[in-house]
Amino acid sequence: MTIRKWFKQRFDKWLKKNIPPNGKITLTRNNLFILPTWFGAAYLVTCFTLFLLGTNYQNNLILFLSFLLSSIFVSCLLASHKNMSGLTLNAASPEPQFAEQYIAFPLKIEHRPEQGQFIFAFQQDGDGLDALIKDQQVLIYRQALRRGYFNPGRLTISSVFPLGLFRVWTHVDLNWQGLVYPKPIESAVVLDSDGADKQTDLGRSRTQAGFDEFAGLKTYQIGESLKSVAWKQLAQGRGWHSKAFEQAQGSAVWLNLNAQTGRDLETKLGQLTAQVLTLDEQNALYGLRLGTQEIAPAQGAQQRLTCLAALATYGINRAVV
Amino acid sequence: MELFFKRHHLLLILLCYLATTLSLSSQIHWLVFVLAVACIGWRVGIYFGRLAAPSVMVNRVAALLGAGVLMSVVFSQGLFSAMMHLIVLGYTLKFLELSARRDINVFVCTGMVLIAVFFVFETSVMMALWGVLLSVLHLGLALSLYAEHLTAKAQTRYLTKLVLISLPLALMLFVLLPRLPPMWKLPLQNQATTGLSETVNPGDIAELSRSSALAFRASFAQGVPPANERYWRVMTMDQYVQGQWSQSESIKSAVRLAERGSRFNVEVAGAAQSYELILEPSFQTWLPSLAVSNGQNNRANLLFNYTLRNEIPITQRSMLRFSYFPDTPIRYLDLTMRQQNLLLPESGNEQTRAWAAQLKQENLSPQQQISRVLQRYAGENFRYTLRPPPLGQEQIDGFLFGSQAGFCVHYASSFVYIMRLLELPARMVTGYQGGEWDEDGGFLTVRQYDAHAWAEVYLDGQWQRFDPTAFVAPDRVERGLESALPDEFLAGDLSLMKFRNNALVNQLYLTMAKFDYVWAVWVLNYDNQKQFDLINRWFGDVDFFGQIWLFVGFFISIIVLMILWSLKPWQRPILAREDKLFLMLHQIFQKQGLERLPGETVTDFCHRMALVVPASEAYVINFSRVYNRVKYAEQANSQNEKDYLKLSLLLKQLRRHGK
Repeated sequence: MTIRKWFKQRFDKWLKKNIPPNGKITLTRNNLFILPTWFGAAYLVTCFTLFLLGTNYQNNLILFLSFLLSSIFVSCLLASHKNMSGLTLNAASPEPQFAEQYIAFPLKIEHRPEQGQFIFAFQQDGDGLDALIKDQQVLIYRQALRRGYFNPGRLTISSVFPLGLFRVWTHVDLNWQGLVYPKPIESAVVLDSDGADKQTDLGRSRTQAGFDEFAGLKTYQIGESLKSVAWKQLAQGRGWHSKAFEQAQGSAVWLNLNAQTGRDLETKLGQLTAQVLTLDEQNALYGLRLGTQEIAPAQGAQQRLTCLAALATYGINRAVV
Repeated sequence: MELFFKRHHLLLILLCYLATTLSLSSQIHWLVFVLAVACIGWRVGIYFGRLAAPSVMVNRVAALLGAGVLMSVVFSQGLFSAMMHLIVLGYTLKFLELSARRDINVFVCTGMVLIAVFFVFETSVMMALWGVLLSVLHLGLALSLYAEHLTAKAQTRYLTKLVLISLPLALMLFVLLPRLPPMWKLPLQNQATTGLSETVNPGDIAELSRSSALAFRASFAQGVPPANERYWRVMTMDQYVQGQWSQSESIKSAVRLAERGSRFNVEVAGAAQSYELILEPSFQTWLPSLAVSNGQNNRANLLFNYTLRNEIPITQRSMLRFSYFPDTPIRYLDLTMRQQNLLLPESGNEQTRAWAAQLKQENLSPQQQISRVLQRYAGENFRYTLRPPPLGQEQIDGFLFGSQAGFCVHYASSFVYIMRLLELPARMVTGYQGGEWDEDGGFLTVRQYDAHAWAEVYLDGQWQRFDPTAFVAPDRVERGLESALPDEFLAGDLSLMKFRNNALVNQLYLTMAKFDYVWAVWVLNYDNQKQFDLINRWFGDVDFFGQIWLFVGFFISIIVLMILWSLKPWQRPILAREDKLFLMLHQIFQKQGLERLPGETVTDFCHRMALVVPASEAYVINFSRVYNRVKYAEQANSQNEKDYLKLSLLLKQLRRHGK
């Protein structure tokens, strides 16, 4: 076991040196590996069997068949290498995802039209989903376990084209860095009373959420969230309207890490994540305090992303990925 | 069913299966096809979702049961047949078990072995092509599994290309790789024997005379012997029992010994001539030869009756080389053999006995006696025909004094009978006589209808050949059966042979025969000797090590050619001189970790470098200026040359000072 580990370490080191991380990699003979598959070995055994048959029966036709099949084996060695060689991989940054969800790592591949049949999988892959390949776009999935920056490890691209006799593969590091938000933990919204806004109250008030007030209907604009559609009115045949909400006056609320009920940091961050999502859904004006870090109150998608990113990276040094 | 298994896979598997098994159908028991129908039906049912895939248990039971039943049915046909049926069974049962790509891989490998088995039975040019096509079809099945991004047409094209680029290497291996001797004895296929049999019934040779099938072909290093000397001895018959000639026990035991490798040593006289035979499969061990011949480094062994036996039956077209000593007499005769060759039934054929007794009383020398007998054949109303009237119990009497119509066996048989009555040791020899000489191809074709029987009499201390047929039908010996019996020749045969008086058909026939001969000599029987001759012809005198070096050299050069074809270095862009120089400049900065950005022009790059590495400023700015001038300005060649020098100089300076 230890020997295996030692070999793996040596191999990883070797890989790092010879196939350094890069967002764009072109496959050449310097970074491709090739070995016969199980079928390739069986095929060779068949060739050898035919050779023995041909020799023992002194039958030149059987010998020729054996030679032809062996030569095709050699051609396949070249053909399968050729199928991978020249393939260019362009990594794009993945969309952030919540912990324990699958992150899709996008990849754009460029190849000649006759090349194909590539299999994408992460080198250390457990029960991963199959990669999605459409034209030149590839999405490879990997489950993110913890919040923070997630490096899926090396990507293995392999192919057994044309006859399945050889497997050509490479392990490339495409410098992928997935951002993983904490896993939302359902909890009631716990707000931090803001001293600057409410001078009178020095303590913490624990107010329930629900501060948006219904302000009336306005004509629905294409592109508005379907959540805001006034379905009732639509059903009544009064046309497309959307519900407009207005925030209660001076209602910028703050979420605070310290105010959370969770037992440990990760739970608290999880709770905060769920709350950010709740507030965003309600289109609230909210800010976030994480220790010394403070995100000014705002609303909308941008605010949600900023807050989630802050939650994801809280206490994590980017350099240590 | 798994995702990989599509309709075209099923169709391809069916195609491979049917093409392969039907090619072998004459060798496969019909039960296999019953099983195949069941398995294929089940598979199709699974494919359409009507049936569930069989469990592992069902598979195993089917395999065991199938093997048991097949073995009980086929085992009597010999080990070869049994082994072949086991492979076919596995091939058939794969239909029940196609759940992963691996199963199809196994199917492909099994198919290849079956194609090899097919080659054991079929060796003609067309069948060889067909076998190669079958193997390519199996490869196509493998390709269809792993090349789903290509259309069927593209797959076909790809496969063709793959096979074609593999051909040179395969041919080189075939031509140059030394052949090994058989490593162990494998079971041989059982098939009905063809050609001459171990006993002589007049009916047998008449039967052979109706067949235009090839018996063997011969080529001679020192010129072909004249037509009336082409007596190919196969067997001698020294025992006459109940109207039938056969081999006595002593010959049979000598045959068994020869088949195990023992040889009768004969003192040869005179110069040797060498000839080669390409024998068609007869599934027997006898070999036709000119008297007296010895095998050359092969497994053909001489018997005391000066015929040859091979150690293994001729099951495929085989080539054998012989040394022919025309001046060596056939001398061997010992006491028991003498008695054996005088032996006749106590009674019967009384008319003949009386006639022989009368001849004996005339006090003639043996030579004269023989002439008298032969004159009788020539003088009376003897007739040569392949359709003699039936003879009674007393065959010899019936022939000599009754019908007087018959063919070689009748003449030889009665002649030997009379000789023995005259107390001259005599025996019947069966074999082939004549053959058709192809002047262009340089080979003699001997067909089954050239089968012949003649006699040998021990006279003056050696066995001498007498062919009574020659006295009745001289054409038979000089020009063959066709000239001797133009009406009866190949009466029931429908082959091209019959229409050979048509010039076009004859031409076609001769071309085909020549091609078939070349195929037999240079492909089917291409051996170390031929290899050696070929290499010597192409490369002059090459010894064994030279041959190895030649092989290695060819092997490497073909692999290099394949790699070149695969990488196509000539398709790389050819860079202009200034661009090569720019790449060198780029490398200098690359070493310092400075890359050219995507889309950055040479000018932009140089200007950026000037800012990033101030020491290089003077050189890179100049470089970009000269580069642009060479690249884009239309100027005289002499000016271009000067500019190239300038660029090189700038590079040199940059290397020295610009860091």
